[in-house]
Amino acid sequence: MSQPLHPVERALLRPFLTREDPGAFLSSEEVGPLSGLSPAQVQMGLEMVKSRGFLEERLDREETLLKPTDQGLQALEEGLTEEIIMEALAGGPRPMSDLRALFPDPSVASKALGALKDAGSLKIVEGGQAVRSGDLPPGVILLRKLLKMSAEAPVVLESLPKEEQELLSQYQRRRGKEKGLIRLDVRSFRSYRLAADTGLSLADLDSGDELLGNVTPEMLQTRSWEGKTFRPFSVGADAPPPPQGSLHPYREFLEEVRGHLVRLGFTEMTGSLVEPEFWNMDALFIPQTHPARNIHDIYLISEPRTATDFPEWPMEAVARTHEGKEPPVSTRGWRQGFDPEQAKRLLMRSQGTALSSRTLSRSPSVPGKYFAIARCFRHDQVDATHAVDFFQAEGIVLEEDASFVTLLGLLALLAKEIAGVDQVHYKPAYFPFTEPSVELHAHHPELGWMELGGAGLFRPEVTRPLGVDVPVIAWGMGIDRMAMFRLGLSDIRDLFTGDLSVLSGMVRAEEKSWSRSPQPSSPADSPR
Amino acid sequence: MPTLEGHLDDLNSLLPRPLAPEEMDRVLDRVKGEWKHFDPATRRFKIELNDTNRPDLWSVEGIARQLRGGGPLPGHPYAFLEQADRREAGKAPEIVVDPATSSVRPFLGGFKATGGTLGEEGLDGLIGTQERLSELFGRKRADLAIGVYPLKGMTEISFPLSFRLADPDATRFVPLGEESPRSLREVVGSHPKGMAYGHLVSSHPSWPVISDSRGEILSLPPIVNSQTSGAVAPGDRDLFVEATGNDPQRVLLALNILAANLTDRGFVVEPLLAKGGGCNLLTPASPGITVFVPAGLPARVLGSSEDPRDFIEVLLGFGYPAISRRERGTKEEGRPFEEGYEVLQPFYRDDLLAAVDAVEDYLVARGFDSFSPVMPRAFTAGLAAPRIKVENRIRTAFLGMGFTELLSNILTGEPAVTTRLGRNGDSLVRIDNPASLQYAVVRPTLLSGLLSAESRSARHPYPHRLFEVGEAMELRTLPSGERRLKDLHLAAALISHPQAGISEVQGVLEALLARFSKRLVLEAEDRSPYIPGRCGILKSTRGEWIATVGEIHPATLDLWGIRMPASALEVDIEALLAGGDGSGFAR
Repeated sequence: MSQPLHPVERALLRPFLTREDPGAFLSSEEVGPLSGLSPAQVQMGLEMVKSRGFLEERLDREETLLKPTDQGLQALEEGLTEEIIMEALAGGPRPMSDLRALFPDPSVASKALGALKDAGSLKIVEGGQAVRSGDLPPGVILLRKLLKMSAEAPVVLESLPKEEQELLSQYQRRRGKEKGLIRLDVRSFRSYRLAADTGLSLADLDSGDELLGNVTPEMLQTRSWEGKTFRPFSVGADAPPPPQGSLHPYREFLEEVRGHLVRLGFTEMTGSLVEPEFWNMDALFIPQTHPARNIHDIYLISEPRTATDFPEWPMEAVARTHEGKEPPVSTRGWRQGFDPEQAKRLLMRSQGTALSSRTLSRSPSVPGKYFAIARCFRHDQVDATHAVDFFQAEGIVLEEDASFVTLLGLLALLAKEIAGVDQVHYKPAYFPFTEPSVELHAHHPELGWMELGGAGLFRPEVTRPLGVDVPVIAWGMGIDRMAMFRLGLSDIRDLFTGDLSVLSGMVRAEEKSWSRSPQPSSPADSPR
Repeated sequence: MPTLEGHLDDLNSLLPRPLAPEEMDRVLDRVKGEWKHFDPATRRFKIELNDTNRPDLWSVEGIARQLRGGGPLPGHPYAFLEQADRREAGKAPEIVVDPATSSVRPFLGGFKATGGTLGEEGLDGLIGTQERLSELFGRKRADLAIGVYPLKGMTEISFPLSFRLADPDATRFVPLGEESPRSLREVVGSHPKGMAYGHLVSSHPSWPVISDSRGEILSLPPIVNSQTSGAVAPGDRDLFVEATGNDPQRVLLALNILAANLTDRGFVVEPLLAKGGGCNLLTPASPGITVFVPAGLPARVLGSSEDPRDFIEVLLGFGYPAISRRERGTKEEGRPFEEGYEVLQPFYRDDLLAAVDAVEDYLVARGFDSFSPVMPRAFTAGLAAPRIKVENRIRTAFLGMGFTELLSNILTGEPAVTTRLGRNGDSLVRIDNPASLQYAVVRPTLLSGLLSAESRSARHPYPHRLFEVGEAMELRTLPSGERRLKDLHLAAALISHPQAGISEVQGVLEALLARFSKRLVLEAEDRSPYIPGRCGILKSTRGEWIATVGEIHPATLDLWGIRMPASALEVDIEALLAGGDGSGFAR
């Protein structure tokens, strides 16, 4: 025998080796009392000796245990949907809409109403009124009985009469995807006997007592381990997982982006979730009549409605620029009036660029690079591709000789550093605040061509009124899509989910994507 | 952003060389368009147009024109421009504008287009262009609306026309798609277009109409045409096109675009003069707007030492009718002498606001991919925000204690942060125009996100140890009584398992504070949603709230449908760090 036996293995094997007929099977229930082991030890011991090939296994039978779910317990207390409906109809006919209103989810009511109608328990008469036309269907009565019984002690499905089993399975089928009231747990019963040619003998069970288990403080103090041998551990067996926490994978992705940008020399900007339209729109030369400024696109604040720190803003210079009056900028402007009251309106920040316009107005460093990873809000119907709030990464670069070609260079650098793509295409684009404007498209090895972000040189209409005379590169990136791909998500709402199982799915997807990506080794690590 | 649908063969019929579907995406770079969809069976396409400032591109004709280089098709010159230039000043207007219209719809312009044929595809295209211009460029017809009429329809239109105000009850006509005459007010009340756009005129005592010299009503602008004289059919060869609005430049631009489009379709356009009151519009016509591009600006934008030699040539090939080298400014004008290029804007565009716009067109015409990227050279030292450094210290502290991080939406429903936490909504920051009640307030606490997660995760193996760090907001009352917005920076954690109690979470808070060298001295205070007597708070020496710990009340757990004990903590990070010397605050 290659390895000495563990004490649990020895206790477990003893009944098999001491039996009169070594070829007969013993059930797992029988092994317990015979070996003197606890049920958990029996379970563990069986796994251990099975994996070593000492025992062979036979499946005797399976039984199905009925247990009420949380919904089942609730229904037991408050009544089944069908019961509540029939109870409501006891006093005479009622409109269907009344019956639906009895339940928070009208679709639950509709299903139950349909089932009751099919079973002949009720009928629909003129005017959409429901009226009783029979008793509760037998399935519902049985369900209540089973709920009650199984709430007290587990009920074995196979021990029920055939008709009842049939009724229950029909009920389960009809309920379909809807959360069930009764949970079915399958339990299997197995037997074991000694495998042929194990070479085991009773003598093997008696040896090995002198072997040591885990190292203990006492052992170390008394040096009792000296001259002894440690019992080998079956290293192939499953080990219990340690309790562990985890950082949010999306947030970790944002940290990674932040790290890239800091290493590229960008300083982080932060600000309030609420901005006046002035910094969010006007200072960025977005015309006051622009569609992105109407109330179907932005979230306005109820109280207070307007900002109070406007005396500190370069309102006049911005207003003159919008109106096309020189100075400070030679422009035709938007050729429409500028309303300072609209500029003061408060809204939930709709784009991270609001932070850039504020930074530009505060005598930024030249050369200077600034970035933000800002929560932004958009007035959209929330669905798989639109979240109510989301993160935007964006930044600005101030440099005496910043130009269109350095803008392209920066974008190539960002695409490589942040998205890990080499192949890019620069597409002409339009944004009210940049000219020229570029959309950065990148070729992702798995997703194909995708839009990574927008960028451009800020118009003089943006920079001059804020007191900046050097060219400024501005860029923004949609990082949520990149994150969704990395985290294996198809629904953007999952980035902000509270469902812990979805969250652990994200953690696993992140681990997978990490193992897929090439792990570069630094030249210093290689042997010389 | 406008989306354009069309037929590839139709587009190709307006180009010197037919384009294949595969080359479209790159070709459309020149019009800032994206090839969104193509059905090989029907050869129909969808193009998304990104330049909201170039309505001339929102049509098949416009895209084809720009791809051709901005000029007319051979044999179909934009002759109406010279015709408008030659027009004698004294000639009587074809459209007489009643000065009273200025209070409702001050500007109108129009032209005749004759001798062409639209066909089904062309008519659909024209209606589509008209709709996009009115809806997007005209902001749902508030600033601009367009009407197209057959010159020789059921009744032939007789000039001069009159644009005047009429009594909404006494004036009657048959609106488009109907059979019998109705009063203007009835049309606004029940016709689909009337219900959609009626509010643009309904507050006025009398409403604008266009009628011809025989008194036949052509339309109720900006709402609906008449059925008898304003229903265009695919076979119509002669058209009258008008636009009304509040801004003469928009009216002119829209008519210029439509005149160019119809000329490309084989029509001959004749400009008309609309005159009266403050309105004096001869349309279509070149507004002759020029932009001065200072010499050296193209070089600066391109990052080169001198202006590109082909600057003028490339722009001329992109549709600019004239570019001349010019000197601007004299000593008398008080302006420094400057050399540069005088650039004339094409008549169908009005997006040149400043010199950089012309330079961008040069780049687009050359193709962005024809420029080699240059890496920015200046060195700058990067720095993460101090707030993020603090957040990350807190996050790693929680991670070390075996917690899992959550990230929740900042907008939430009001009940989640009021009734379901046993709190009132006095200091809530509310959205004035929520898209859904589920996202109607800014969260003032992170607890609701943690409880919501708990309520969805009963199947996940216990114990649960959750935390979130992030932004929130509330209203604070100043001593003056004024209420101001206050951004909050919070951290919160929740523990849930059969024995989850206050001491466990108190230990967590203590360990967290130790990371910032702060000491925990709790005062007993009852605060929702915690169990009275099983809740403690930490205050600064000035009495400001810093943190709360406690066991969540079963009534609250019940509201969230949670069937497992839970205890929680929440910390105001800003208040915590304001504590200063690290010796603890409560003495």
